Amino acid sequence: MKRYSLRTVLFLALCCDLGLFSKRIVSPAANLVTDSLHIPGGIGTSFSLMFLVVAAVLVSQPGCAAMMSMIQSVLALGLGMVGSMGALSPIGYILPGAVIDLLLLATTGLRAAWEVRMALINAAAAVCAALTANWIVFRLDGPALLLYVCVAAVSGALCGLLGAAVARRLAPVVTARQVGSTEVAEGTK
Amino acid sequence: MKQNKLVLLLLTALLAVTAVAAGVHLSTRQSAPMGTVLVECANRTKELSLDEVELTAVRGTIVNGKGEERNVDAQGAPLSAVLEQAGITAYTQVAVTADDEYSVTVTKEEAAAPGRVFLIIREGERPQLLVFGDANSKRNVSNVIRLTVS
Repeated sequence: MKRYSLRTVLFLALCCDLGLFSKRIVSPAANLVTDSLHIPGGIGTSFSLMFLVVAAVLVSQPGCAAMMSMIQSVLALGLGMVGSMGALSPIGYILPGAVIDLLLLATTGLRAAWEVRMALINAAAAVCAALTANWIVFRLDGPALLLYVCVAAVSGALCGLLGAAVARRLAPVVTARQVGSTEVAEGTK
Repeated sequence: MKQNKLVLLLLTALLAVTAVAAGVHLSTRQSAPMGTVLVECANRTKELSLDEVELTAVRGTIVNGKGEERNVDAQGAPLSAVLEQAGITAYTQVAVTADDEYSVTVTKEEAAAPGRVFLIIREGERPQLLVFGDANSKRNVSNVIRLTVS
């Protein structure tokens, strides 16, 4: 098993926390959009997932996002930040994390720029999170569900692009010695 | 450059689908005028004016997801009384739907239990469902627009 450097561990912990708390910061602005569309959410989660995607891309270790999402779910349970999902909230954290890892693995051979990959991965993770929340809490159907998923996908893709810009800046600083980060730094130039 | 075009194409396609979905959702969704709530029963929909509902003082304590307690002191009516006002007495459960389509279910037993399920009614606001006795605030629904009785 590969040992993480202290710098990497601190970076992962920071991304975990940012992912957990950023949702609350962007929620007021996100609610303006979702309230006008009469849907229960979908944007804040896309933003919070961006930190998991950035970390998974930069650290470039299999299972990184799933592990971070597990830690996030434990923190959320410990801090009582379970929202309307209640005791089932770990599912809402872990499933998108697993999707990020799977898609990172699946798109490894693609000759696509990191902007494209991260937009796709973030969008897919956001859609997964939206469907999980819908399954556990919202129970939307028909056009409302379609719009909810579409808003999650669009905001996820936009956050993925933002995440790619963040990853490009952070790559030389955070994990400069790792192959994955070199790929990111080169791929996003 | 080619990759940028791909990203732009992807985003444009997603935005187009979202715009269509928004159009369909906003044009087909049911909404109640302010001061009213829609009551659906057996494929019939009735618009119930909240002015017709007799208000009582609602006092109690609700618990949120963190286990924090909050005291409630407001004006409202028991959900069963609101349904009675709409002429509905025979039902097994009620789906209470908010303006953002968030929906929760209340059984007849819960609605009939004294001091358990209320619609809080405030001037200039849509009603809010409060369920006392729940371990979390999952069923405390703001901006209620529809009661679907089954």
